Amino acid sequence: MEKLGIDPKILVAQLINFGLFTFIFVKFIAGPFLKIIENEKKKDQERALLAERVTKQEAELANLEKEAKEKIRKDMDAAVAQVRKETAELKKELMHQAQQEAHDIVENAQASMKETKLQFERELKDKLTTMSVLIVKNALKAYLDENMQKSVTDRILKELSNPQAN
Amino acid sequence: MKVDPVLLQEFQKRLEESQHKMTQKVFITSAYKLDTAEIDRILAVFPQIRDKEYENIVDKNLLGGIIIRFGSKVIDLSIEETLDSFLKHIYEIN
Repeated sequence: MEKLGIDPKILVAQLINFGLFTFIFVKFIAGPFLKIIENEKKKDQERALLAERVTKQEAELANLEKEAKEKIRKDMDAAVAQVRKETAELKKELMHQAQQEAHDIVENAQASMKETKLQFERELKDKLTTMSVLIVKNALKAYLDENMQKSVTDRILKELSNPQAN
Repeated sequence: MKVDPVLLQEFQKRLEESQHKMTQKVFITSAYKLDTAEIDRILAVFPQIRDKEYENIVDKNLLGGIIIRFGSKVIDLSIEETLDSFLKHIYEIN
C-alpha cells in the first residue's frame, strides 16, 4: 500500500473524517434542509389547493351573483308590472270617481239653478200680484166717489140679504 | 206706592163699565157717512147686533164697503179685505 502511495493511517483518518463529515452533514445540514424543502413543497400544495378553492368559490360567487342579479331583475320586472297594473287601476278608479263627482256637481248645479229659477219666478209673481193689487187699490181710490161707494155698500148688503143670488 | 183702596175700587168699576159699554157698542166703519136706511139694512142682515148701540165711524182711507166691530169680533166687508183675500189666494197658488 505504501508502494501505491497510500498511507493507511491517513486513509483511516480520512475515512473517520469522511464518516464524521457524513454524520454531521446528514444530521445537521441535509436533514433540516430536506425538511425545509418538504415544508415548502407542502406549503406549495396547500397554496395550490387554496388557490383552487378560491377559484372555485369565486366561480360559485360569480354564479350566485348572476343568479341574484337575475332574481332581482325578475323581481323588479314583476314589481314594475304590478305597479303599472295598480297605477292603471287607480287611474281608472280616479277617472271614474272624478266623472261621478263632475256629474254630481253638474246635477246639483242644475237642480240649484232650477230651484233658483222657480224661486225667482215665485217672487216675481208675488211682486207682480202685490203691485197689481196696489195699482188696483190706488186706481179705485182715485176712481170711487161717494155714489160709487154707496153702490158698493148696496151691492154688499144685497148679497148678504140674498146669498143664494150669487 | 200706596193707592187709596176706594180710589182703586172706583177706577176698576169705571174701567169695567167702559169695557162693558165697548163690548155692547157696535162700530160700523165706512168710507162715507151711512144713512139710516143703510144702517137699518146692516142691522137687519146681522141680527146679533140688532139691539146694540151703534156708532158709524167714517174712514176716508177706506176704498169702499163696511167693517163691523163688536166685542172682539170683526166683520170685514171692505174692498181692501176682498183684494187682500184675493192676494192671499194668489200667494197660495204661487
